Amino acid sequence: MKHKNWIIGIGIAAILLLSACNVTTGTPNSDEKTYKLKVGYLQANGAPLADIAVDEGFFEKEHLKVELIPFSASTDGLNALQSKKIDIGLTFGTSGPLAFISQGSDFDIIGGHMEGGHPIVVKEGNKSKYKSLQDYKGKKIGTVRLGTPDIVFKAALQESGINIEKDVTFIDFKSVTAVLEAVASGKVDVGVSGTGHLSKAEKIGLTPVLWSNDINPKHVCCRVTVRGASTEEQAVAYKKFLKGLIQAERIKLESPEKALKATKVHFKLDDKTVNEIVNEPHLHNTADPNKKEVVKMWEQMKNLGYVKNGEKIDINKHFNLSFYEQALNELIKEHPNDDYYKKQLENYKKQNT
Amino acid sequence: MKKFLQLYIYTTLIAIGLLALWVFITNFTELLNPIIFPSPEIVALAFIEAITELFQGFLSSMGLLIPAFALSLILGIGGGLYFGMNQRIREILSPFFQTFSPLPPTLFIPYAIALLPTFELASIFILFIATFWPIFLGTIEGVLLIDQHYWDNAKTLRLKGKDLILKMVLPASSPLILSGTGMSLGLSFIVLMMAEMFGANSGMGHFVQYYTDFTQYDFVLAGLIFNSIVILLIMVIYEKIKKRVLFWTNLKKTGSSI
Repeated sequence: MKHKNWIIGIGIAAILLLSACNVTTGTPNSDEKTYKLKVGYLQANGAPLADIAVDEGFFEKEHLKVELIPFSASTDGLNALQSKKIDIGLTFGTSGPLAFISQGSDFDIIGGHMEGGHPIVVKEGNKSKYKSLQDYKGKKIGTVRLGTPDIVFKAALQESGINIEKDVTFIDFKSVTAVLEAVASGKVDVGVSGTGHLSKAEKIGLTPVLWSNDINPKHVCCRVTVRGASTEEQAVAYKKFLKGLIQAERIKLESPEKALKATKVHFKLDDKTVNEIVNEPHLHNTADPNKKEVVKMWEQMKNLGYVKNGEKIDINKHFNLSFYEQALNELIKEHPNDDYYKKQLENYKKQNT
Repeated sequence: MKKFLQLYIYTTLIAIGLLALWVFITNFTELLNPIIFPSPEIVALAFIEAITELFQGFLSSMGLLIPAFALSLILGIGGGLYFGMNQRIREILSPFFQTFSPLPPTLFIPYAIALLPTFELASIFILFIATFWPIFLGTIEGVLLIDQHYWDNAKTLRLKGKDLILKMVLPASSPLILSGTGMSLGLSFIVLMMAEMFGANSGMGHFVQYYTDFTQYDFVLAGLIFNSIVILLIMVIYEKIKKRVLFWTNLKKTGSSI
């Protein structure tokens, strides 16, 4: 009898073990392998495209399990990427990953997530004083050093002939929130704000006088960043992830209300605030890596002194565009009558090659 | 209740006065920006709305704080006793203690993320770094300040090893150990905000940090008030334990040292 119990016990254990294995490597109705990715995102930016892709089941369709991990600071997220605690950095900006690359990090940019959407703000009553970039001369400007809008704005001032060391006074802050408070309290004249902060800026009596899109309509913001050396399995997972993002980008473009529904799960904020963070008209979400604009920002960072010894690094080696291209080609194949993906491919060629 | 009122009548009056001042400034003057300084009613509404999230945060934070603090107590008191009683080794290593103890725990965040297997362990490590030093240094100080009479008596009684530590060294140094522990407790709540900046979806520090990022100051203040209540309750319990442990000192005669 005892002997019989042992056999039954081993049998049950084997069944449990097999079913446990099934959870991690397969799906109930398919033999196709399930891939897993840990994706880090900056809390203040959210991860709209990934949220939509989860909500619409795009990742599930690709047998991809995505775990979204929040960070309050980009540097912590990029450190986590560097030390293999996450597989992808989704919304840590462009300048953040580029700064890490300039310090020797083996990061590759494989896709995009956001473009534009950063306002330059002043007190409501001072709006009329700022009509051109020359009007910023002699002003105190609050900024978060090394942030994407910081680079776009400083580069624009430089290009318009303003000496950013002498003609203006930049004051660094740790967060956009602090920049806004400094403008509201009159400690600085102008604030370089960030995406998703518009209504709070307006609530404290500030107004946008310039958008980063006005300076450069195609400037890049968050880039999808991974570690350079990837395994075969990761390569497949990255392609699947981008495939999900491309489809999500389309959903957001065509049905912003779906974007709100998908993203508000992650934001503990009211619908109006979430809608502003996700659907603000100046903010564009696209999964295209936009290499040309990233290289442009790299050059701007060198000119601003944010990248030292930049000549020693070939930034072109820090892109892996194949995942995005494969993802797009697969989507074209799967939807042969759909022009949207074909247009994205044309766009991709323009922006990356 | 009568005793409580006698003890805390002025404390209560000051609290009511501060609340009244807050109500007055935010409702009847235009001295402060209402977005950054919301009125108490708005904060109360935010508090009620977020109460479940606040309690979830409390549980998450305790999940980090309790193991970190327990580790600090074990290693801080154990290490402090060892180095306090071994002069030569203490002299050799004390420059390191002096160098590392004042470093802000935020400096260790990238290293904690890189070296520890999970984000939760990294957060626990950051809390441990912050809470360890006051207990450790307090214990060393406590051992060094033990009156010579105690050492002489212990020698006369031939106390050695475990007996010496448990019956003489630990009780005699306990005032400073407990003082360091109290400091650590306070510090742990300050560091909680940094420790919950990565990989956390809830937490007392995370709550405040999250809503600060989105300039939702009614929720930020609701979080701060909730955290203050938790800290106050924990410190009151701690003071009670401290008084019981230090029954032989004149601490029990005082109301509260916090």
